[in-house]
Amino acid sequence: MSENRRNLKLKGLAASEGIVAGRAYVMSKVRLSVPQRKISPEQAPQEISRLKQAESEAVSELEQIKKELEARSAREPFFIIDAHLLLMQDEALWREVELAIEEELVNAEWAIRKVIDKWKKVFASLTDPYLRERGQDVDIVGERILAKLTGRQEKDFSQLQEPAVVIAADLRPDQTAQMLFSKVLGFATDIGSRTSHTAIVARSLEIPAVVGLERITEQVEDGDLVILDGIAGVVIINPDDSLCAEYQAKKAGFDALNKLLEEFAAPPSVSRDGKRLKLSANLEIIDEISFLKKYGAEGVGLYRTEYLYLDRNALPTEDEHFENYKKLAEAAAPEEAVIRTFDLGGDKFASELKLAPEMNPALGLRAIRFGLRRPELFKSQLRGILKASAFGKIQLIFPMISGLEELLQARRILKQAMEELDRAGVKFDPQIQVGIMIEVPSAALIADRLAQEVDFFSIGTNDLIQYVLAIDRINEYVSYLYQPLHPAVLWLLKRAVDAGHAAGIRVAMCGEMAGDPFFLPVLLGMGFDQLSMHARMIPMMRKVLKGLNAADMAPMVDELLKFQTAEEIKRFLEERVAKEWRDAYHLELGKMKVAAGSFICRKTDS
Amino acid sequence: MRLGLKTHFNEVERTVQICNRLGMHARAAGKLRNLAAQFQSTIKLVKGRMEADAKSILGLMALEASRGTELIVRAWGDDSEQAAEALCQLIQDRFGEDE
Repeated sequence: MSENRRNLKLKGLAASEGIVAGRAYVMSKVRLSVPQRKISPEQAPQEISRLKQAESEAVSELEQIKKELEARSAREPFFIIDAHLLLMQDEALWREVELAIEEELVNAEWAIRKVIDKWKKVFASLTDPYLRERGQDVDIVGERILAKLTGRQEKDFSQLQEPAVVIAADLRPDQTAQMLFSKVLGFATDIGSRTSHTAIVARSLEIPAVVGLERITEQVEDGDLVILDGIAGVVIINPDDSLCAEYQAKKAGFDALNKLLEEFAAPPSVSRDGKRLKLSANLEIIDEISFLKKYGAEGVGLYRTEYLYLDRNALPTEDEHFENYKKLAEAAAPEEAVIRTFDLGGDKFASELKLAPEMNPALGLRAIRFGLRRPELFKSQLRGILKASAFGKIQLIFPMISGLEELLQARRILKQAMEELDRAGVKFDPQIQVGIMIEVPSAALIADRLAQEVDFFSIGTNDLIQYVLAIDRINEYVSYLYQPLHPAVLWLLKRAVDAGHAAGIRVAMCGEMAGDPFFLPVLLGMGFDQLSMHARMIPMMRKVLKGLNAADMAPMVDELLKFQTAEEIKRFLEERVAKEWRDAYHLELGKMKVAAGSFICRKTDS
Repeated sequence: MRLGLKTHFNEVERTVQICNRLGMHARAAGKLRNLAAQFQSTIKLVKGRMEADAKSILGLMALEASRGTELIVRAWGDDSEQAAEALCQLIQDRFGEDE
């Protein structure tokens, strides 16, 4: 092995959590090479029958995959297999290939390549991006048949004898689907993002994955030892002993943490002195509903609906909204699911709406502002939510409310949507609870007035902190100023909670701050009724909560509010974590002892 | 895809407009092809200067028939009348889609 391929560390995007090590299994990088062979007219029927044979083999193989997927009740991501089957059974396509065999007197392989390449060119020239992409499907179908014809087995996971880490340029949906029943430890790909199809499937199958590594297929060879760290998004090729040991320890820590937390993966969530605090999940896509049970989430505290709109050409229909939310409501039952209306700006919307780019999108036309500007879009989502409310406990929340007028306007549109459904005789929950996000400072300041018009608040700290401190979190030069413990932030949080409680409504938090154990004593002391977070964080939060005395926290918060700087407050809390709250935060992880605060709370350090 | 100039035995022609929101995407093309395959007749869909075999999904998709596109259904053969009628009906029914 050459020296430069030792300890080679590649950075990609963490697509699915977990750490694994194993031998690399590199999927074929290039298309099969196809020789041209001249045939005599008498040989043509034989070539055609070879073609037909390959065709039917490929079709039954795909049908087999489909059947296995159905048996495992795998859902939507695999609809592409249907599209491939449809193409594969397109007689017109194969007639064209037969014609090429007969007229040009060439072997079946060559004829297929020729016809497929022609169609790929046709599709590449189309203007509609959706149709243009179908050219890939044509290519895949051609390659599948070619693999059958040449007898060269396409590499696939089902042949894996030993557990291995799969390395590929990209994985097709039918390939990722096959991971369900193979010895794949994890996978790494050249392309992809956290929201690409393969990443979503990996998370739902809980297979560690790193995507977007750009050139990994060129950098790894079959049989290389590979460490794949799906938490940090790193792949290490041919690691030496010390790196292996380091990762073994890391993996042991991760596994031990998960195991320990299994104990805390069931409700209720109670403090040492018996105070209940509801811990619920933030979900982004519908496939994540499996997390609810896994981590013992007490309902869905925030369902972001943006993914329904992104990565597509057409806007979602009312029925798509409805189907999606119905699934959510049914999975969350008997707990409630809080659905947030779209938090998008015009720029992120489906290409159907062409709007001018904005200078300052965070302060621009987005979320509720955009919804009020385009009531027909907004109402279509509201009707979908209302319809689904007949199937579970759905609550509705409006994002980015900055004043009372916006809230009243939004409520008016909601009322219209209700009346329309009523007239049409469609069932929905007329008592559906309506809340607002408190994420614009003005909303926190007039929370007492807003509280009169809603059933609950949910504080979105990611935006609130950014707006209060005038920090663009993405800007590396100012991100150090992003301080959740800034006295101004704490003061605003306290004010919003008190205003909500004075009006007798529930107050929740759903930003990143809500899922960080380090802040839990403060939030407990402020009197939050509910914290909503990435589902994975719930067991850890539940464990820490169990060790804390809620009654001690309220006076502590009063004390904290007298401090001068974020730094002082942070030091004060750190000291308590190290001493008084030691048991609450302590975790036994194999041979390592790690305080939860230092393990998880890296974000508070900056 | 070429411009069909000749007329054929029993040839019929109908004009129809794509009216479903997504246009003739993959699944819709599949439905149309399956329907077309039930007839003996040769059936072509014509959009402007382009023509596609109604029994070929690839050809249908490559027409890029989006909502509002006007298509000519041209069929010839024993059951050309019924074929053209059935295909137009499917297109007008928005390929069975909601909108």
